[in-house]
Amino acid sequence: MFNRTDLIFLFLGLALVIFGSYWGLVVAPPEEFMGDVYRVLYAHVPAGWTTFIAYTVSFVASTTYLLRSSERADRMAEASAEVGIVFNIVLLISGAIWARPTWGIWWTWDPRLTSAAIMFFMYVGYLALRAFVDEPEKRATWAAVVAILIFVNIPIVWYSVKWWNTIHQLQSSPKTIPNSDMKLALRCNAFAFLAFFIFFVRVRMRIAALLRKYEGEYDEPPPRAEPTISGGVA
Amino acid sequence: MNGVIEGGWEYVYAAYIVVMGGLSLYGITLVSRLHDVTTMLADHKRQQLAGRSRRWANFLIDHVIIGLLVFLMIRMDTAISAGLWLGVKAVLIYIVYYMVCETILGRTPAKFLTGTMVTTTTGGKANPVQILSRTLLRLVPVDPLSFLVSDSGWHDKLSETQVVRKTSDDSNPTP
Repeated sequence: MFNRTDLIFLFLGLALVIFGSYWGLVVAPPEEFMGDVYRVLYAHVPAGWTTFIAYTVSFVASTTYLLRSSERADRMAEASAEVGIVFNIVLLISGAIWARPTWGIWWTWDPRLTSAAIMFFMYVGYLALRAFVDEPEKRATWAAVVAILIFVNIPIVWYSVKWWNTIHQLQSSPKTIPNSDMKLALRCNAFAFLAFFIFFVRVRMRIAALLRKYEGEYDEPPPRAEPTISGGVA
Repeated sequence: MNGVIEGGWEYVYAAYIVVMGGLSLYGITLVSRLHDVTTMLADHKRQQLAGRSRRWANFLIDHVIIGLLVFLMIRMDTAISAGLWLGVKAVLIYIVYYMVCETILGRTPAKFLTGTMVTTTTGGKANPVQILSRTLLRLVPVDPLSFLVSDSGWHDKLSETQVVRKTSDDSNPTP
């Protein structure tokens, strides 16, 4: 079911996330103003970065599909978008959990939060579109166009904290964190999530390839009209 | 108190549970989906491939027909053929029988009776070279024994062909 590369990414992600979580929850000191609540960001921020990476991969793969009609690129676009949605969900929920003790509210219609929520719904719409179109080529083309269009929202989400007066703090990065233990926890979890992302995308692409193989066998007309075979066998 | 947030570990744990739990749940779901899709394809493959009983029936019926053709040839042959020449003629009948039936129709009379047909491994029409390969490989005496260990014979595997059940149902199931 899994090949060696899959397992490398899976176990690399597990090792890094265990180490990163231990470092973030036990070793790293509390933050000056946020105290221990800051530790939420060791999971929340890498989830955000991975979401952006996933949607960017989906955008690049969609563009590649339109340029080269590569079925693999289409599968990658689909897989990245789906995995991106998963990271987007945990990003939004963990953000709300962090916001409650920090801002005193679970949610507010702040530019960053609102644009991130819109980003989530756009990609859910993208997957819905894929589910509604039966013909593989038409589905891939339409989905690629939509993926390119909705990617416009990604820079808006990223720069929203700079462009507008927002309650959300500026993007966290290792450069903005003074303490080395905090940096290590953040970096470990970031690379762990990246490894998980690659693992998830690889598995999801394999599922898409198998489903497409199935579709190909049952939806496409057989090479000759008569006699027909109910489902060619590979 | 200099504005630092006191406590808050419950929020930290909740966030970690959501993030790690969410990713774990998705990972488990993906693995489960991969397993389901793989199983679904394997099931369809098993369902559509002609089973061993049909294959043995094909074998017996076709060999009876070929035996009759050889018998007729012997009866019609005015010159009494020597053993070797007779064997060559029988092999030629054997090859021509399969070549004509499977190349043109994709099926021998036995396959008509059992509702099966020859296709490539991708479901397409087998070409004459593949049919010739199948036919010649059948002549290897141990070829029928391959069905003792597999649903496909060596003559199927080596010629990249298969025998599938032909059904009138041409529906397009989607996963």
